[in-house]
Amino acid sequence: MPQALAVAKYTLLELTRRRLVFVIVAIGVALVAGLGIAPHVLPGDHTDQDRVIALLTGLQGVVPTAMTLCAFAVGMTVMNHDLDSGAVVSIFAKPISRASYTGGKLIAATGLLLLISAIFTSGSLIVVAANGGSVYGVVFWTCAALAANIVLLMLLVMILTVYINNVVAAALVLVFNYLAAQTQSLHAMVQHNVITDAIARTLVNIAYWGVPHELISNLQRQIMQMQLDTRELVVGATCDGHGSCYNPLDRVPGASGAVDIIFWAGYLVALGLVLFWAVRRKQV
Amino acid sequence: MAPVVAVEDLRKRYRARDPYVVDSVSFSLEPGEAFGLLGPNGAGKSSIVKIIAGLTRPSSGRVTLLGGSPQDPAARAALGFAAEEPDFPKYLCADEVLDYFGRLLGLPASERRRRVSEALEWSTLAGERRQVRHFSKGMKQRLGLAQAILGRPKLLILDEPTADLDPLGRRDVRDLISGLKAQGTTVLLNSHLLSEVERVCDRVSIMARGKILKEGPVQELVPEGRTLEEVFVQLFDASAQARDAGLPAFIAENQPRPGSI
Repeated sequence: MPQALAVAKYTLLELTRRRLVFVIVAIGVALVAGLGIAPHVLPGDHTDQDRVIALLTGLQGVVPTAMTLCAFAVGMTVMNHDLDSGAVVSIFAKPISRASYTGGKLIAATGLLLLISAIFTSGSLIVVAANGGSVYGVVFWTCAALAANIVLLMLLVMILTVYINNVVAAALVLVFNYLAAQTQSLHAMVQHNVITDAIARTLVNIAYWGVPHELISNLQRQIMQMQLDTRELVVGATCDGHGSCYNPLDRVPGASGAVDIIFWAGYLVALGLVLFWAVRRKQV
Repeated sequence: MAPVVAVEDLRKRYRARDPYVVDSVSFSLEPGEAFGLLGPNGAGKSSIVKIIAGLTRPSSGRVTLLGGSPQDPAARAALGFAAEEPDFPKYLCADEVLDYFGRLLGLPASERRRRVSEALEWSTLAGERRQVRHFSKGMKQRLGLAQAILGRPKLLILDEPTADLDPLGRRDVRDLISGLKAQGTTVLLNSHLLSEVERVCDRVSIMARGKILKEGPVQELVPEGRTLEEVFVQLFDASAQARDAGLPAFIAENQPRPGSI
């Protein structure tokens, strides 16, 4: 354990000295601050509700992008720089197990990502408070879900960098992440009977359980509900000709449930084990 | 007394379709001796030292390091390894690298501070505040040697330790090896610089294409009036396939004189 902590300490020190992560965080924080200030300085007669809707919509674009970029930046460098430069030769010749080394790297990388997530969460909550507040819970859980999602992305990039160039690894994970998101959308269509073909439904269901499930909060539903409230619209049950009725708001994805969270945890453990195995097998 | 390193019938190839880079190699290192591993590029020397240091697994055969398996971290506790073309975490300074490695060696804080300071002085890197990414090859090599001796190893493996060093650095390495030998440390030296090997090693093993061609004490292998380099070249030529050692043909071709068309 002391050796894993030594690896974690000096990995964190190295990560804090690389400017890329901090440039991304600085730009992200500046954009979040800009979103918070904009409704106060832009001309127009805005209600608190309008400001919060605009703010949440903006945060929905900025925060995930910045946090995902940070995850890629950390994942691409945290282990690959040691492997690529040959530093790992001197490290592995010391009396440290590969498991301790990998554990130390994971502690450092995950710790930094959680710190970055905490910065964005705090920033988002502050700008929400400055614009009327009232949706702290959904903002907090949105950032928490994002933090969970980016840890998986970072792990995927880390695993690939054990074998291949880190830029190629990042590109592959980007493609995989896109395909995973599309699979989730298709799965939602299957659940709402938009896709009715039996073979297509089976294929989508199989694919769905092969990719990580992006954890989400009620943010999307909250924004839609607020938009409806602003226009004083009441959405009731809609019935089709066959007598089946639904509330259109139900079609907007809600917060991830226990199954998704357990699946995320299982994926996390599986990827962690693959990373340990990859480093253990690595010949340097 | 048990050997520090025992290598028995060691074979290594990196892919199933490749030839063996180390082929049925056996030798052992006794406590306090300096052993030189010699051979041309691709002879398999670096593969052997990497297997001994636990960095790579053998395809077959058996290697014992200080009574244990090289894959076992405990067996590497008394190992110092200075890699060929060493590198370190790029964004750390020399003292941080040594502190990092001192922690990996399990040194207590006060002892770590003392050894780091002394190792920096010895390697002439004391006061160097730049990060490793700004180091020259020679500075990295000195840092590589400093980290290798940090744990007061019973076995010190030096893989081409003087390749990027100036004459003063080479002298320091010679003095280091002599000093460690006097303390009872076993030294495994892997080098192309045969004059260096001849000066410091008690025993040498000459390799080519993964096999040991000859092994023995330096005095026995090098007859009176000859050098280790001459013996090495003679042995290697005798084992190598016939090749035309002449210059490439294009060198001898008539070239147009400057200015002519």
